[in-house]
Amino acid sequence: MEGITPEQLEAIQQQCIFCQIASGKVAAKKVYEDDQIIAILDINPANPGHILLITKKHYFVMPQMPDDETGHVGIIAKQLSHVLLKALKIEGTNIFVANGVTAGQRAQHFMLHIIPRMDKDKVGLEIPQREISKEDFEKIYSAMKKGVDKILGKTNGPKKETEEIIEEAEEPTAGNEETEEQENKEEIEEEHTEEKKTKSKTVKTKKAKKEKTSSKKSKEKPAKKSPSSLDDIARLLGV
Amino acid sequence: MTCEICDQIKNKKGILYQDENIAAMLAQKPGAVGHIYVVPKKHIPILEKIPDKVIAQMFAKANKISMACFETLGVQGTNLIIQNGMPAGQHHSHCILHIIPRKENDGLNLLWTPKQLTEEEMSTAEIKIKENTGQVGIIEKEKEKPVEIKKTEEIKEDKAEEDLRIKELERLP
Repeated sequence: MEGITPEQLEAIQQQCIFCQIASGKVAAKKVYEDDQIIAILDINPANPGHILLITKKHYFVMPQMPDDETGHVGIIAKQLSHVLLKALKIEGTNIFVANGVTAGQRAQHFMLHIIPRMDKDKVGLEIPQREISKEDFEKIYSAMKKGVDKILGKTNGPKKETEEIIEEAEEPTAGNEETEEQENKEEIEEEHTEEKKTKSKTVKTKKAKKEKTSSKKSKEKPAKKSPSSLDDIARLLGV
Repeated sequence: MTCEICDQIKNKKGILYQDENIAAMLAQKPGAVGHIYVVPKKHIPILEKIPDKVIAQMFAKANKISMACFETLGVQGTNLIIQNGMPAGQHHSHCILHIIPRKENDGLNLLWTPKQLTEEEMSTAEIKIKENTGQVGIIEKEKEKPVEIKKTEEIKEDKAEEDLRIKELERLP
């Protein structure tokens, strides 16, 4: 995304069928719309009532989206799932997102599927449950824990709990890394207090101002946080 | 009633992230290498019972953790899936947002065969859904009384159908 100029983005949006649907230039069976997202019926449904939730802004994949937008998508997906259960007398729903061609993503525009389900409807979407050895579990855990801490470190929850988890993760490795992680912790704490300060400031300002800052934030966030791999993901989608 | 997910949170096994509302953990029976569960910390069996604030957190964190999968595991894709109800494949009595890292030829088939519907069938679905979308987009706010009163009434109406699904799920091992 970062390497794309506004002109290029505009060209992409003009070619993207889902951007055209979101802006109303192409007709679709729209079931919900707000300022951020639009919900339409999938023309190739897994079951009748299959809904696609599409962002109005053009994102290739979900990792490009800021937290407030992914959160909003989650809330609306939950509410629409409830609507399907009430409206279609179905027995369940699947919420499905694919990031990347390998995961089954076909369009170059982020979307979330809400699929109505009935018993024995042969839609599939079964996730296998495989046995895994203790060693493999621990190996994957320590790698993933580092990866998750790296990305979520800045926005981690209550300090006490994060400390507990870090202690746990240290058990298998221990040694030199302890000091490193302690430094990281301090950094996190510092950032925490900064965040709190800025938050209390925004609370004091008027509502109108809040809206402005939040929209600014959403524009700034992806630029700050998106790692270089996002371009790789975009490339995988054939961009 | 024991819940494997609640137990895993309690025993702190494979916990990758947690805050006061949500937790992310490595699946003990994974569908793929690095399969992760993002869950509400409270025992909530079905998606619709998760408060707006919590589901928003689950999605935002799941997205970040999915990014960590790309970087850490070197995968080419991720799927985010919620199986809501037994016909949708739900195995646990605790609602889970699955993050499934994907690699080429990993043997997973998480795609469906599209159905061909007539224009009439599509329109019927559209009308039925639209009749019920009045409440969509109204985000629950904490400590906002008038909204709460309306919501409790609504929940009462839905209880009958939802209880059935919860009962079904409680039968799960």
